[in-house]
Formats: sequence, C-alpha cells, structure tokens
Amino acid sequence: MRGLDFTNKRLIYILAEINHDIDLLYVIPCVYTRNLILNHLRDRISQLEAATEAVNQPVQLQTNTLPSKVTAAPAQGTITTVQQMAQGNERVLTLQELSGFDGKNGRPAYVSVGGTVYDVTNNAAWAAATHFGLAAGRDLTGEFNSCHAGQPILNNLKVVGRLV
Amino acid sequence: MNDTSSTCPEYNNRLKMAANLVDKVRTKYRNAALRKRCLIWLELTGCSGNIISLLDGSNPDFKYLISHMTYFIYNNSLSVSEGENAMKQLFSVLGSDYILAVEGAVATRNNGLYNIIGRMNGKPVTALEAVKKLGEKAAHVIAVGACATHGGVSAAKPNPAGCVSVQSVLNRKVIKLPGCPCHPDWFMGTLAHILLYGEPALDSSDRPLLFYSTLIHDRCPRRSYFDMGIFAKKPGDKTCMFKLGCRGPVTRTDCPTRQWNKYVNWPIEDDTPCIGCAQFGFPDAMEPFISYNITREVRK
Repeated sequence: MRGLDFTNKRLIYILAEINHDIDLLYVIPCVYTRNLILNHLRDRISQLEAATEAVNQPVQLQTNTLPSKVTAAPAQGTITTVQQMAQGNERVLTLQELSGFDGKNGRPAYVSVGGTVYDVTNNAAWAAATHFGLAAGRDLTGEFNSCHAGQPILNNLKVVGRLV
Repeated sequence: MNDTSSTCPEYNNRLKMAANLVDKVRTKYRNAALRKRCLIWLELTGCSGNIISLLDGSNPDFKYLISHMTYFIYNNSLSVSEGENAMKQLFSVLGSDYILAVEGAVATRNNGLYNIIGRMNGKPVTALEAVKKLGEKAAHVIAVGACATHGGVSAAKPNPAGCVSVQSVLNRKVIKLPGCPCHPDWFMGTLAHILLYGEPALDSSDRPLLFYSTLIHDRCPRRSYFDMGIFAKKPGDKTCMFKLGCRGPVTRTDCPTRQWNKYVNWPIEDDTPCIGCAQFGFPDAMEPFISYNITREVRK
C-alpha cells in the first residue's frame, strides 16, 4: 500500500504542474517560452500515463484480495460472481487445487498470498519449490505477513489466479 | 586469485580487504601506533568447526593472530593450561579490556547444564553462565559461525539442549559472522577492523558489509544459466543448480569470489548446490539440501 500512496502523491504533484502550465500559457506572449511550456506539458502527460499504469497494478491486487473474504460465506451465488470477476486467463483455484501445484515432478510451483495465487516456479528465492522451510502449493498469507509485510516484492511475481 | 576475480576492480579490492586490514595492523604495531588487545575465543555448543576453519586461514595465518595480532588468552581446544588453571585464565580478563569471539550456540535447557565448559572452585561452569559473564563486559562480542549467530545446527529440530544464539542471551550489540563454518578472512578482517577503527559497518542483521553485502546468486559464475532458464538435473551438471535446490539466491556471502581453502574452490564450482550455510535459519530453513523431483524447466 506504500507504493499506492507514493503514486497518489506523484499524481497530485503532476496534476498541479499541468494546471500551472496551462495558467502560464494564458499569459505568456512569447512564442519561444510558450513552446517550452507546451513541451513541459507533454512531458508531464507522459509521466501521468506512467503513473496511471502504476496505479492500475495495486488496484488489481486489491480487488484480488476481496474474493477470499466474500467467499467466506458459503452462498453458491457469491462463488459464481467471483468466477465472473476473473479476467482474461486468470484462474480460480481452491486450496485443494493449489496443493497440486507443489513444484514437484515437472508441476509448476504456486503459492497464495492474500487470496492471489502467484507463480514461483522460476523465482530465484524458491529453489526446488521451497523457501526458508516453506513448500509451494499452499496459502502462505500468514507466513508472508510475518516476514515481508510492507515490502513490494509481490508485484514482481506473475499472478496466475486467485484462491477461493 | 581466480578467474572470477580478475575483471572487477571493486571485487578485487574486496578480496584483498582482510589481508590489507591485517597488514595495516602489522604496520601500526611496528610503529607503535596501535594498542594490542586481548582476545578470548569461547567455544560453546558446536563442533569446533570455526576454530578449525580459522587454523586453515592463510592470508594472514592463524600464527600471526595468536603471536602478534592479539594477546590470545583462551581457547578450549588450543589452550596449554588445563582444568581449573584454564578456567582461571579465562576469567582473568574480567575487569580488563578484551574482545570476545564466541563459536557455538548457547544451551539453555536446565539452566545451561547441557554444556559445562569447565569447573571453578569445584563447581561446574555452564556455557550459559560463561557467555553471560564474559559477554556483558567485553569491548566487542563477535559471534562466529552458524550456531553462535542464530543457533545453527545445534538449534536444529528437535533441539534437545534448548540451544539459542549468543544474541538471545546478551542484551548488547553482537557482531555476527554466519557461516558453517565462518571463513577465516571474515573473522580476521572483522577483528583487524575492530583493532584499527572499531566496529565495522554492519547490515540490519549485524553482519559486516565488508563480507556479507552481496548474494551468492549475484556473483555466481553460473548466473547466466539461471537467466536463460538452463538448469542442472543432477549434481555434476555444469549449469545452474536452482532446480536441485541451490540456496545461493538467498545467501549473502562473497563465496563465489573469495572461495575457500586458501582460495582454491567453493561448492558451486565443484558442482554441488549451495546449502545456504551462511543464511540465518540454517540448516532447518535451508532444507531440503537437494531435490531431484524438480519443477518444470521454462526457457524464457
């Protein structure tokens, strides 16, 4: 979430600069300076695009964490909603299905944190599908939070689906 | 020293760091510009592996450490004195200035009775008692090796003696030199730095940055195989041993460049995966040391 706060601050900063540039454009008579400001404006817009992309990533993660809470209720309808929410090739896995992805005998290695399932098959810190005594194919939310809380390392992992 | 060290001037300098520091100590002693200090080497629950490793040190060698570099007051394996005399020699430093090196974990079960290091006035002296007494008064405490830094093999499950790290029983800064065993250069360099300038710069786990600042993975000669997704299927293959369970990506030491046994070789160069012996939590957290039923190979 620290990353999200940072991006929000950055967005506010960029927007303020854009507004300031526009105000300047109204009053600047010199063509040369006007072009400079327009250049600056274009630069800020590309920064804005980059920041928006960065914001989209954590937002997606946030929605990913929701289903685990929602599906705590046993209602069949809720599960259907969760499955509908899955986008593109994102998969929905149960704990039992997840346990099959233990990284053994050619199977990929998946772990789940906060309801999102990540692929750690070729993650350097997961040699032989184990990491500091933890095996792949499990929900490791508690273990992750006790060790890596506040670290943005999940963003570097490939998301394969979500846990229900 | 070896092929991997020849290209980067920074790493070449780092390799010579321990020797350079000791040379500086030597020069300063010659010019009487430095005070010689007492060193105590306390062995608790361990295998003597770290003192054996230190005896194997070559640049500088152990002889210089005990004869010139420090007043080497006590080590249970090397001391000439025996029995109560040895204990008296050990505790004679209390009240003076000394540096304490500790190898081995602290056995805490039954108030430390699982490890008696000697007898004083007819009473047994537990390792727990000795490390507390000497550790609190020392100018610097250096935990040498896996057991002293985090419990290591002595604290592995089921840990019948209730072994813990030196830090767990001392309420003070403990410099940590993990490794099973600790490389002679890591200890000699740290000690020389203390004699010359005091405590070296440490990371958040109190390991000297001089020796523990890079991951094995970052300087591994087989790193390009990892990046290309080409993995060894058995020990002996010359490619990346990640799928066999190599712990290089989570272990922070300079083994790939410094190497061992007078800078001759190290595990990965000799086709066995790193078992993470210098990482906190070893050995339990680094298991399994080797796996054959491996994950799929994905070429990027």
